[in-house]
Amino acid sequence: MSAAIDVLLAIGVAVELACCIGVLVMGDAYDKLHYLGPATIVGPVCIAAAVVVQQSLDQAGVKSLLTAGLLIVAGPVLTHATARAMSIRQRDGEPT
Amino acid sequence: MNAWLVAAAALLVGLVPCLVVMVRGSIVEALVGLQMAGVLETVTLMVLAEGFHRAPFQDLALVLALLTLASGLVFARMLERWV
Amino acid sequence: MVVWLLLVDTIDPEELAAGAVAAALAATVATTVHRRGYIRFQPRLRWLRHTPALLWNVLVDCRLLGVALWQRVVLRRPVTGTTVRVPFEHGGDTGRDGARRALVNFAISLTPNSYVIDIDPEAHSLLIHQLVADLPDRIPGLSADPAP
Repeated sequence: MSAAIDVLLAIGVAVELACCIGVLVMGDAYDKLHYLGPATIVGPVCIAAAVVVQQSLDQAGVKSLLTAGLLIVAGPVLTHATARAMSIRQRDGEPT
Repeated sequence: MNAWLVAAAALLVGLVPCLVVMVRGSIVEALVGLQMAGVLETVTLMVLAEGFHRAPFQDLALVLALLTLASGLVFARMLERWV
Repeated sequence: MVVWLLLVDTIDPEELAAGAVAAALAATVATTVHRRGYIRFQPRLRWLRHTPALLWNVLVDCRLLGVALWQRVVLRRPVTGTTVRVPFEHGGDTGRDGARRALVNFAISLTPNSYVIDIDPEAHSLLIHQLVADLPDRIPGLSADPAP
């Protein structure tokens, strides 16, 4: 069980850090936005799964699942809203 | 020191690229960096809750996830026309 | 009410009462918003059949983004996204069409390699950005309801 927790933690942390590097090195904001995707899906799911393996479905496990679910829903919403804001700024000639 | 605290320390390192993007990038790139930082810190709080065996930190993570969503939408809406 | 009980992890009478009050408040607000027609959202249950394909696309796209990151960081090759215009039947102002637009937008933006920038009602199209040029993500079968 400890090995499963370590593996899930390692995957979650690796995905989050890779996404941070992706946000840093990719060209413009449109390209950087893509890396919010795995950061809001894979990372939180792995971490929540690790918490559930550790605690089973007690209060901490349920809350971590709720948090992961919220992040999964929030990711695409934020991505679309940011992309749309940039598109409107470009159309209006504002700096992006 | 346990695996959770090591994971939290590693996640905190991820704030550095987000900070660089926020400082050096354009205004929309800074928003992307801010949203990434918000998600990163939510996950960090989830991990710290287990590392310190403090279940209430999970409440903090849940609230931060909500605030990241709300604030990201407000900033994006403001950036459309008012900034 | 269920979310409240999941969060407090107890069925003490005081917590049940507080949860009931919170649920009643939320239901009142939801009903008021629905009656005034501010948000029209009537999804079809059968649209859930696309969920397995969507989850698979998420995993495939995570791999695409990983490869793109490898190319950018290790191989030092430039990676530039592309914008694609995809035909999309906009539909009308009904709850069904509104739900379809929202869920298609959500589903495309959920997959990491692509997200919707804008929905053009006049051109009946979606403007999608992809980091790695690929077949446009489509959710098959979500077409506008026929006009009554």
